[in-house]
Amino acid sequence: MEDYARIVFHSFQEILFVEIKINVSYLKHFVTPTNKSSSNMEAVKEAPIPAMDSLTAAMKNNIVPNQEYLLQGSVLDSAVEVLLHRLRGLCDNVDSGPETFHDHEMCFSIRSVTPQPLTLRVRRAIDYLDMPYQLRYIGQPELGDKSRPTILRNSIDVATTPTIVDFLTEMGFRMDFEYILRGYMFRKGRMKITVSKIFKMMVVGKPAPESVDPISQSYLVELSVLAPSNQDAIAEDMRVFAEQLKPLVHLEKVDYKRLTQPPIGIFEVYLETLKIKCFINKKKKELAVEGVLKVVTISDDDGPSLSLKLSITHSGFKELRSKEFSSLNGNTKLESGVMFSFISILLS
Amino acid sequence: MGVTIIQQFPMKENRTGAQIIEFLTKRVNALGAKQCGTFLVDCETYASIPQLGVQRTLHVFHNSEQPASVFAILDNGTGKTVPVVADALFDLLLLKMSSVYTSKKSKVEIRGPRFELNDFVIKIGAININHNVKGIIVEAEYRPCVVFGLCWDMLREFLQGFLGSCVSNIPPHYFQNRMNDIFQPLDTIQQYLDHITIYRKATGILQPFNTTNT
Repeated sequence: MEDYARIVFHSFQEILFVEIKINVSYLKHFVTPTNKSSSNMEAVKEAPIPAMDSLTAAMKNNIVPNQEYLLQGSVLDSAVEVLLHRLRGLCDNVDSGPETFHDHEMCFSIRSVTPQPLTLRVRRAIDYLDMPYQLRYIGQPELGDKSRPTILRNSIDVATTPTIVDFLTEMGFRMDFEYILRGYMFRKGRMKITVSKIFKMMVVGKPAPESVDPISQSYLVELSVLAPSNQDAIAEDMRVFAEQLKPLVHLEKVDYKRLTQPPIGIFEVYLETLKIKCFINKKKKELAVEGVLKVVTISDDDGPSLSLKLSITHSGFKELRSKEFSSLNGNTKLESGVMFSFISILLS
Repeated sequence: MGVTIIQQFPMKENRTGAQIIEFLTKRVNALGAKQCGTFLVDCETYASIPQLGVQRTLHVFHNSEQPASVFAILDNGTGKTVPVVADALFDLLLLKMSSVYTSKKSKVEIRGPRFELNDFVIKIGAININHNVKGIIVEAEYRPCVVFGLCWDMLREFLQGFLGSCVSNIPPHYFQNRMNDIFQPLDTIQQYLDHITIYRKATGILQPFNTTNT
């Protein structure tokens, strides 16, 4: 087993990816010819290694890909074509073009004695129904200090049979939410780049195209590598790659803690006064932020509803950000999904 | 991948597990079978914590015949069982669940020699529960066929040929509603679970089973 671990460390990056998926005890069957008729003594020597022991050995030798290096960003729908074009030029799969994907993700959680619930995600391909389901554990993201170029989070990715949904439900897990992801996947060496759109499902468990609704007018862009621990060199490669995508998309370390705090009490748009008013609940303290709206375009082609592009400036926000809304009426209260994505853009 | 059936072989009072394995090894060798290494099937059982309500039981299996897979069978406590087959890293994920599912500390291991005889694979294993030998299990696989109903008669005859009358003429209970299904590695594991459940319920070591003198 020692020999095996050494080979992996010296091999090329692609090979590492393939080999770490293979159980160590399985490889032993290739290494040791087992077709010899043997005495009891030899049989003991050839005995299969218990799965838990080979897993422990794999963990010790750092060949289990359980760390994810991640950078995230987003682009508006109108800009996605330019980004895809750029990625097509930069990434490996030039000839075949970008690979598309259409996934359905469900997030399950279970409560135990600890206050923090255990969360697991199940993902399945809608466009390839015979593909295995992916069960995934994602740990708390570590942002680290400025010197660390990417987010680092624990990640365990397991392919399973489709029974996993029923299995988790019967185990006592409850489904918290589900959504659809549709987009493109690129490769650059060990790096994976996805450009995808998130859709809300209007009917629970029904991912049919007619019953889904995009949650925002932008695409999520993710740059990630799943690797064994202590491979920090890859993070530097990712930083360099992210630089090459600027200014089309800014891939950053997104601070989830800021996003998961429910930031909004009320969010109102007053068209008459061209003012935006939102109350942000932060540590039980209500903070009212009032920014100035600049209406960039207003079109009233579709009767009474308006479409407008808002940009907001406030001393609390470093940069000026803008966001396009359509179909707003006077004094509209925006629904929470839209508010959330707007606030995320403001805070990011 | 073929069809696999699992058969218990009765323990004799005055014989150890190793002696019975040796005795059966001689028989299969006489048939012309060649030993090809050994095999190992293990099972760890977990129970849900009381806070989750009805106690659920989770059995997690590994089989050296499918070394990259983990087989998990969940019993939800009200008679429903859900199996799942996953990659080897599923074990790592289970460790994350240790606050809700705790190990019952009754590890089961079935190990012994593995033989090949043309289209057949024969495995003779001693079943160890917490390191005590509880019995002998014989696994026979007929590789060219994947439907139980089509090769059961031959498998039965084959097993009876070297195990004798302990092999029943009636198909194993597990297959009674699955005669014409395509056989999967999970079916082997389900049969192991059935046998392990019988052994766990039994008290004492070296208790004879299947001693029907027909």
